[in-house]
Amino acid sequence: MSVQNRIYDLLALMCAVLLATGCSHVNHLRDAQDSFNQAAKADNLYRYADLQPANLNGASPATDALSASTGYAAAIASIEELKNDTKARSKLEADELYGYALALQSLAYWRLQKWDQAVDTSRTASATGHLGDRDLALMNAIPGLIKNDQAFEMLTVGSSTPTCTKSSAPASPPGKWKLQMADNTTLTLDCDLALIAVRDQLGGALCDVDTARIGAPSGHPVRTYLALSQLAVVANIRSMCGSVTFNDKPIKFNRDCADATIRTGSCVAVRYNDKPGTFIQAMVNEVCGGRPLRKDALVVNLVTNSGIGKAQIEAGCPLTH
Amino acid sequence: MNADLVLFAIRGALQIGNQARVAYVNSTKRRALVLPLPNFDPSPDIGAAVDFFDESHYEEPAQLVALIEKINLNQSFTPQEEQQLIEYHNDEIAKLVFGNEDFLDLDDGTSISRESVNALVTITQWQRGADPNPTVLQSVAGSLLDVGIDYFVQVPDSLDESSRKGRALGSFFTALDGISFAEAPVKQLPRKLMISVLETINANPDLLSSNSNYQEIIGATTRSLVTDIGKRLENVDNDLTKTERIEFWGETVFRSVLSGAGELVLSDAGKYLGIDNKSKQILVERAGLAILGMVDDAPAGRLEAVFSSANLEELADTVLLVLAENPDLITDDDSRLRPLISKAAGDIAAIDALEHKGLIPEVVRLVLVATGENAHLIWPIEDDDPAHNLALTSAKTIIATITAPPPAGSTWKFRISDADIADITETVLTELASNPGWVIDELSDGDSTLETVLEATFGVLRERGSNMLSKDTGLQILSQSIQAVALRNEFSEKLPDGRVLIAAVIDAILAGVFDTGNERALWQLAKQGTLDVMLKIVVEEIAELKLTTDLSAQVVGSLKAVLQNHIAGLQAGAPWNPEDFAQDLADAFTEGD
Repeated sequence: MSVQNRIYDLLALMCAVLLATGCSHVNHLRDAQDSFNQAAKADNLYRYADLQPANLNGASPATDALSASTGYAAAIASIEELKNDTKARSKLEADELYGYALALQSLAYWRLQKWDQAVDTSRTASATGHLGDRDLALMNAIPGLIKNDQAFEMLTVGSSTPTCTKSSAPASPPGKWKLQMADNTTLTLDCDLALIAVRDQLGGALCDVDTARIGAPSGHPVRTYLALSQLAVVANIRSMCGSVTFNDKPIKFNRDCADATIRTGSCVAVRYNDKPGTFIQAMVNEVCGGRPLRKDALVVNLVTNSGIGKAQIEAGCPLTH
Repeated sequence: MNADLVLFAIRGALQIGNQARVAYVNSTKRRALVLPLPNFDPSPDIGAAVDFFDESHYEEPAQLVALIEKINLNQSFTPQEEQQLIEYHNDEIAKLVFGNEDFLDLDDGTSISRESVNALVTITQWQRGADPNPTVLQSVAGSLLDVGIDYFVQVPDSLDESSRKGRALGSFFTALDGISFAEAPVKQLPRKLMISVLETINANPDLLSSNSNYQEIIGATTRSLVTDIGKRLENVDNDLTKTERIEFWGETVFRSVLSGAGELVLSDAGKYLGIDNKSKQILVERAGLAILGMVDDAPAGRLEAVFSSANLEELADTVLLVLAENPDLITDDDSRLRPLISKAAGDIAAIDALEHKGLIPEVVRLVLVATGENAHLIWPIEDDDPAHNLALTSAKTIIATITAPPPAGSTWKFRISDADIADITETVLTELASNPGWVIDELSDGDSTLETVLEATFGVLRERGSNMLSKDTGLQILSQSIQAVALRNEFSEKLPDGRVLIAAVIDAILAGVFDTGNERALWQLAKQGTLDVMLKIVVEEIAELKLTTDLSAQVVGSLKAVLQNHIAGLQAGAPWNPEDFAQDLADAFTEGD
């Protein structure tokens, strides 16, 4: 146990002994934080642990999906209990902890796909005016994170793989998807409305999270998390492009399709000169944080899945065009 | 255990408990969270594989080289080829991440494990150094100190109140009791200041046995300086160099004011005790803040090198004395004392020719003394600009003039010491304090009287002086010329030949003595003390006259004639008699009236 943990334990003990009823709301919130952290660890392990080498020790991913959802539900229930207890809620508000509790609940709602509650709670959390830098950035990012997960759900379970056909239509009327190809030709695809909706969700997700990331203090680690999240959105965009099928699909179709989709995010034109490559490099450089690229399987996969080539990865951070 | 102690224990426990609760709340806010990443499929697909190998170059294996060639030509892949390319891609990623071996250590010192995913996304609330809440240690340590102070205040018997240390520490703790250390960024300061109190008391055991209520001084000094230092520390962020500088000076000034105030109490208790209690506290507070401000206003390193604890104590002593005598210098907005001290120290330090900056504290002290003695003329209350303080401008003029390098061809050269400069400065400032008018006045050509007189006199000394003229005699002559001008402003007026009267007088005396050609006469007149007595007599006799420009020129001629007669007497073997010299001068000057 670290010295700092001992101090916290000592503080908790003093708090408990001296003001037996004065700290219960804080303890309750800390319990919710513990539940959330356990859930998030299980959530991440369940989804990404297999990327790590097989010879590593660790929890079995198979059991972690349930742990995650149970932990998130426990965190939500704990905070709901605090909200419904007038005294506890008043104390949380007096200690300026209420916003922190709501932020945690919003994140848990998001992961349990209770998206409406997640958005509502995030707004209330931000409105308290008492959020720390991390939680404020996360609450700003919640709409984008939700859009990404909604699109991901549609891609994986919500629709069958769409089949697009080439079209000679010059614009992008409803149901059509105009792509600017690498050789400057324009490809307009006839796609079903579901895929168009996915495209728009992912473009919106990129920019919502980007706005939250830029709003966070420079150098704050939450920016790394948000940049990783943006690369995850890019990975979904490329998955979406990979799922589009039509005859004679060009070999570099994925890149062109991804670039066109990234451009649908209005922030790309404004902040990155309408250059998807510049946007992706900015995300990778944020993840690097001025150091060499972390040789972690998750990070490397996210970076390579966003279309960064071998030469650039070997050259290391910061990436240059 | 008595009732006081029980009450203290309850109060202390509540105080620490409350602070611990605040720290606990803050630690909950700053707690790191593991953040789940949004959903995505991390496994690479053909698009990622194509982009990965695009524009890369491989010599082998041939199958990969052929696949890359197809990418370059933008040719379609068969499903088998897509799968092959994805496998090559996976192999390359494995090499990038793990190399060709099973190493698991990352460049940043961490190791890859299944948990490394979570390590990457475990995010703190604030980045390092940006947490707006006090750390746990700050909160609790501050409260512990508060409780310790409270303990000594509430349970004074524990200090043995009858002892000197007990009484002094009691005052110290009472003053600290009013300052919230849990919020002020003072760290080591209280401990250092407590040691200062003890050392000051030990060095001056009479302080607490007198009826001076020296404890009040300790209390007032502690309150004002600790609060001020706390504010200064708040503005330096986490700059350790600046923090150490402020703490060092805070401690030094605190010690100096305690000691200086003690000196005032012991040496001139009547003066100190004669003012009311509130004024006493203000006096001590403002003195400390002004001296601390002087150091703070100066560029880093400029004054630290010249202010020792000893001369800071002397300065504090002076400041307190001047303030006790001149309450006008104490203003609500601190617009007079602090700027004057800061400017004096800064301006004197800026004189390039002044080699030894150790003189600065003494000159600042002299400026303050002179200001205090005739404040309404030297620095009128309606003018807050320290640049208009006559004592300061005079001190600068003196030091700049007498430290300036001698012009080429000067016959009299001497190495002036800090003590010499201080003596001359004190002479000028003393004369200034008693009669500021002559410094204020300007000559008809617009030059400053002081500067003109100093330059003219110094010029004569350098031109006429020889190795027979000692440094002390030269400086005596310089002082006398200043006193002469203060006595009669006409000594600064110019003769028809352009020379200043006092310089012409000195020139006549030095020429008469050193150009005599007779060793017996030279030996008698050049010996220590004779020349300045001679000058003094001349000045006194001239001062009796009603001078006009023409008469002044005649007086110089008469002086030369009288000198010649006396030198002739000396050559003949007669001793030099000052009374006769004075009488002969008086006769010569009034001849023809």
